[in-house]
Amino acid sequence: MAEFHVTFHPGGPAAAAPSAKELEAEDPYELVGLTFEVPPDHDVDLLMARTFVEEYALMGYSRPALRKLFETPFYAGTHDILVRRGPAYVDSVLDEVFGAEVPGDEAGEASAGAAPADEGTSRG
Amino acid sequence: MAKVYNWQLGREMEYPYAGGDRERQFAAVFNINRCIACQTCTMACKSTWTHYPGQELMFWNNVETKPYGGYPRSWDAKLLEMQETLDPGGQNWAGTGQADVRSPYGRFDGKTIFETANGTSERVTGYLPDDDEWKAPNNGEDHGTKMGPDGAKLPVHQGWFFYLQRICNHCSYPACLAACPRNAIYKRKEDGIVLIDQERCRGYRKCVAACPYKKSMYRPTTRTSEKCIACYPRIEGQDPISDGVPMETRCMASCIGKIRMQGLVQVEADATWTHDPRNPIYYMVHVEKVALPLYPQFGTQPNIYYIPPRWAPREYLRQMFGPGVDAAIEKYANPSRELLALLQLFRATREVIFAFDVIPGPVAQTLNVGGRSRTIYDDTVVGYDAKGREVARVKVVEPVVTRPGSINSI
Ligand code: SF4
Ligand code: SF4
Repeated sequence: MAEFHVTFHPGGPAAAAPSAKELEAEDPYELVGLTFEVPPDHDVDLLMARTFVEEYALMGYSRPALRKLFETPFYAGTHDILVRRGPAYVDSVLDEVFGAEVPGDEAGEASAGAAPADEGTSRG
Repeated sequence: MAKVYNWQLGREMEYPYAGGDRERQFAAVFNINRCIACQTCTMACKSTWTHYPGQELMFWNNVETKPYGGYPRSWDAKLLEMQETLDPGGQNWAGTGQADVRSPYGRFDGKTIFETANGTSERVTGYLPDDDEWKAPNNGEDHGTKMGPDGAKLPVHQGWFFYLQRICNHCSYPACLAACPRNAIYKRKEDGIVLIDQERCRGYRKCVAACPYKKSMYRPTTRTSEKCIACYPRIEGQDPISDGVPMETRCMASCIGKIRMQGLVQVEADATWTHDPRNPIYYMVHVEKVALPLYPQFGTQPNIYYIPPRWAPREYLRQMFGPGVDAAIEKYANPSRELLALLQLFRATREVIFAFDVIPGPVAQTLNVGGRSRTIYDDTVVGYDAKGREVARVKVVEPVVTRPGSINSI
């Protein structure tokens, strides 16, 4: 698992080695967590990957542009998924959204039918 | 206690005051799915309203990481626990959502924070957080987990989490107002904004304890409580650059992730919303039902609506946003053509948008979204201000500019 490192040097490089300190639960500034049971079938990587891909694809992003979001380490959320699950996993998500032929066009056509041909909307 | 109608609960409820005159209500939609927790909104607010002595720990806008601590720490977990103790096993929803504006999520059968206070010396169930609990606007996310020779390490989340953007909800039945023994808090009929009269306030902090969202805060230097004022000079159209029409608040207008859209909706005497599907906020809340109130079960009828994060466990989300969560996520993940276009109108202008239209465009691409094939159209969405003038025109397909790697350094 990759971790971000923020390096700072108070007082210059000579003073740049603070002693390593482990997390102490009673430190009021430490992370205060709540625990929740996560359903066993809750694959958070898949849900996140699909969120990233579909959010952008719905705004017209292409498959190659989205693949880049996973490859570039500066996009930490997407890149983490690629590092953790591997390129084939990412490709399978991209395949699913961009590649597969499935019947029906529910939201798109239904709404297109409701909108007049030239302009305006059916609301009101 | 008077009886008032709370449409988010689908029933009448007890409240200390009968409803007053209402014309319009300040409301907003926050799309959790797009927030990057940059805290630009937080700093836009802080640098405008709360950078004076005594306001150091005061964040009228904050963005917190769920399900961590929150600001103040564990505010929601604490109140949920108190409500469960006072109404054991009772905090449940019944029935199914109706098509009308009076009970879109079914009926909440449990007791609200006003009802669990019945028979006690308080008007509202709540608590006063310790000073320590207000220390950070995003406890957890913004704290290093480990110091080492290589520097400080920031947390890397491996489980699910999401960011929750929080301001005062300018509630239709404000708990802060209900609890104030001095009647120092009032709700304006022209826009529903809830304000604390600083002349009348004596700093008893009843509002701080009562607000379930912990958005009323005490300022020791003035010995009064303060809260978000919804940037009311902007809402009134007083800002010189807005040409007399309502303008969105600082936190909304500065949103980097384009997750926020604020509006004003027409309301009836019973605080239900007047039918107006051309109003973008009305459309998302009542037509698409894609945006939901935060902890509606508390009973204040809050007016910030959230598009829930599609990746978080549903049970957690149902407790936070009520029973409308599954339908809202379904709508969001596979949006109608109109909703998809409207989502692009977020942050396209700083004027408050009172109406929008969608002009059909050509096919952009075909995708498999949520297991179903669908066509994406490059429609155009147009927004209009309070005077009916066009103030924004954007397309569904987002323009992409790729900088060459050689100059791609910040
Ligand atoms: S400015 Fe927008 S994207 Fe940034 S933290 Fe605030 S709500 Fe989230
Ligand atoms: S969120 Fe809190 S401070 Fe704001 S109106 Fe509601 S009860 Fe009052």
